[in-house]
Amino acid sequence: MLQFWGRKLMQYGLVLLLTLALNFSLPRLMPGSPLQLLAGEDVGLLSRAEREEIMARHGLDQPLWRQFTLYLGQLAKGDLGYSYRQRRPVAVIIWERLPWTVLLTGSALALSALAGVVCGTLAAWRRGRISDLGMLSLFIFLDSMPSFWLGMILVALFGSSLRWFPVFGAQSPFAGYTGWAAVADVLHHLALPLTTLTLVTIAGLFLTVRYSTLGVLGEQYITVARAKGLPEGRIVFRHVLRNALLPVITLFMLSLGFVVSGATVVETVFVWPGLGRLMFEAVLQRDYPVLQAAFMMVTVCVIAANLAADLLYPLADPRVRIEGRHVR
Amino acid sequence: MNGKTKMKGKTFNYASTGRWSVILLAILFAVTLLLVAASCSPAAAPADDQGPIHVRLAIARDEGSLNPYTYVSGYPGHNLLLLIYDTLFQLDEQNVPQPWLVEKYQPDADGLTWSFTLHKGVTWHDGTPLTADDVKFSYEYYRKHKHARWTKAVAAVESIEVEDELNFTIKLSDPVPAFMMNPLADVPIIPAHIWRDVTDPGSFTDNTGSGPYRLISHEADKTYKLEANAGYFRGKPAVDEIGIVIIEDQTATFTALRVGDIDIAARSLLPELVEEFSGTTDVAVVTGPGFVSTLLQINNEREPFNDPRVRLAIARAIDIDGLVETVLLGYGTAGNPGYLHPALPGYKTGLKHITDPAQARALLEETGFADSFGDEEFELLVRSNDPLRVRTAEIIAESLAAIGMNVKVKALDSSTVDSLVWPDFDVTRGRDYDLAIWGWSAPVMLDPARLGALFHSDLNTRGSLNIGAYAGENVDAMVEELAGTIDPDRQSKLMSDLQSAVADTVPFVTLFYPDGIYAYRPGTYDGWVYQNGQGILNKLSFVPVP
Repeated sequence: MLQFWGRKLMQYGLVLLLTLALNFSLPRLMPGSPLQLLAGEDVGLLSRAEREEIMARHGLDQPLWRQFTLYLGQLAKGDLGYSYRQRRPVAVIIWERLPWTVLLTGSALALSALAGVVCGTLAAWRRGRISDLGMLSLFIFLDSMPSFWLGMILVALFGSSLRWFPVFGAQSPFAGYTGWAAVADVLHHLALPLTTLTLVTIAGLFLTVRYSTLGVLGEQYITVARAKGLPEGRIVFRHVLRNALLPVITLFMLSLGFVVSGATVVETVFVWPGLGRLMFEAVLQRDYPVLQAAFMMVTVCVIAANLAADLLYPLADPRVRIEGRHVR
Repeated sequence: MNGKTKMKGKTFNYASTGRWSVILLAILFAVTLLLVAASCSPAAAPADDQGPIHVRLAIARDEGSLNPYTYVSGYPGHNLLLLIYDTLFQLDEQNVPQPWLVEKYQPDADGLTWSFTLHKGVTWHDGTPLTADDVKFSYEYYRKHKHARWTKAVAAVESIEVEDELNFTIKLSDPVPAFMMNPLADVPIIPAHIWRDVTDPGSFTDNTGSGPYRLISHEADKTYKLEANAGYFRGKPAVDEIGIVIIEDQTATFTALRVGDIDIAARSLLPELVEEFSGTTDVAVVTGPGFVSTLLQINNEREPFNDPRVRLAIARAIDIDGLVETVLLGYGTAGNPGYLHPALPGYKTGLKHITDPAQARALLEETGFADSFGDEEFELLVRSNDPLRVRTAEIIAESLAAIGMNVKVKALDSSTVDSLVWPDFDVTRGRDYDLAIWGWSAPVMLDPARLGALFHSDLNTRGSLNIGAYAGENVDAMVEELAGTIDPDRQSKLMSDLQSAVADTVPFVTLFYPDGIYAYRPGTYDGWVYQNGQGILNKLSFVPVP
């Protein structure tokens, strides 16, 4: 058992190191330079010596491998460096952004999982009827809609025309709300981006649940349950859903990994102060320290979600548990 | 088997799901219908009370802690910086420098020694008086602590002698042709008592200035709050508070303006939106000339563009007036082939772009390159995030196809375009492009020193903005003479000759200068002043020039 865990840890450690190296080198391999960010808009007026001095001050004159080892050393000390653009510690910036992204993507994932499971089960159960076909076409329609487009429609309608919801940001600027008023303000701002993100992610879960439920509905033990005269509701929730949910757990766990990065487009449309938008801006401006740290966050989250799936799956599916023991 | 007959209330009523999905579909249809009808909304009556005026301004990015070493962009960062800090001179609506912090000034005959008297009673935001020592300190500080904009600007200042609290003399090592414009009207004065011991200005975040506004809060990447400096030496600013909101997305910015979440946007409105906004009563649109240029940049080193006749042929092939009409919908000025904006005093009257594809073809025939063009494909780089420039590139590619040049438009992210056209922002590092849609900011139009940097062929010294490696006959001599000339008549003669030379030898094709188009809510504040070529975000919009 110990050996098993040791091996797992090594595996995940290796993956982490590899992705760190990739996260470090990819931004630097992109054409373009952060010099303009570092030197200001009149960078063209600098002499060569002045440019070199600026690059040297940020260690950018060193060979790539040297920069990488310096970066790893800093990282080991928990130092994520300074943003070139904001001139603030990257850790602070990420820490400010993270809760907003988790709030948005986390609640969207929860909502779409809930709705996906409920609607998927019902659709499978009512297969071929108007409610099934209605939901199927609706969700496929939503899935085919680009999220920025759906977001813009919602802003135009509920924000700009009806004025029910604010059109940008996560809080009313300068309102100075405290306590419940602040919470209500955030929820008010959250409504449209959350709706957008939920609607565009619901389809995958819905379809998975629907298909796996259909599969289970065809099993003989369901026929037996029906023959016993069990109430339909009990058959669905006690016997069908339990087995039909297994692939959904996998899908859910994988989506969990993208909670920090998954909403770049929606965040951009709604000017939501999350990590996705931070990454996008950092890519455009070649803000290396922010890029590295944000990518690292994503990596760590994906790896953690995988690990969690590895650990949780045997709890949900005894078959994996038994096989696992045999193999080991 | 009917599910409903088997169903007992306590379990679960699935018949409702059918209804539910129908309702969902109905909502969807309603949404679509409403969307079609959603274009018009009732206009709110402008509030006209006499209370304090709070203006909410949207900018696209965080500008750091907004002091001379931490502001980020030339626009709007520099503009906001100069609401907090003052300069010795201030450009008026027509960009003529007027004394600001100084009351009196006197240059000597050769323009090398300037004596100044500061305005009485100017104080820093913390109440400390602003004195000649602060001026001396600031200019010396910029000299010592490198900054791309300020260090170059004060390079010719040899020494500053302080006589008393208000009087000082600046001695220059070389004459500076537009000394009052740059550095005097460009370089902010910082308080010596705060900056004296600062050795790493890049990470220093203090904002104590002497300007009409003081920064009272900054939430990084979200908001800034500027409060009027009631004791400002030129009188209390017209707007009591400026709340700045950061909205990166262009669409979101103008939606926020439409619904009244903001009162003005720093970014220019897209031409196609002008009509929509002009039609409402609660939003007004002001337009004026812009000094930001849009150019077809040409790599003068690369064959066949190293032949001036080929470059001239390219210029002749392009219908510049057509571009202004189709791309800018008329909100712009057609390019002067000599680069300078026609609204500037130095513009050589009568210099006009000529569109003549027949002559273009003839020129190409003459060079002998025309025959080989069929197989060769040239790349035209353009920044993908600028829809107007992408459209411009596509139209130019068609115009060049008409004279037999096969041009492919390549839209790339702006950092990548920069890295190909201007690697490391250092012209001595070479260049890797054929053609590119490029542009320079307003200072590269206004300031003769920067202007020369566009054309001088010595890339290591004076030609630091010459990204096409252009070399024109006599042009270097003109640029050098211009840099040391303070006689206005000689200056304008040189400027005029330089424009003619540029028009004849085409280092690049000056396509147009897009107008500044600013939308704002006049109900909140209507005192915006359009500074020629530079827009409405300036000190003049809040404090009158005497």
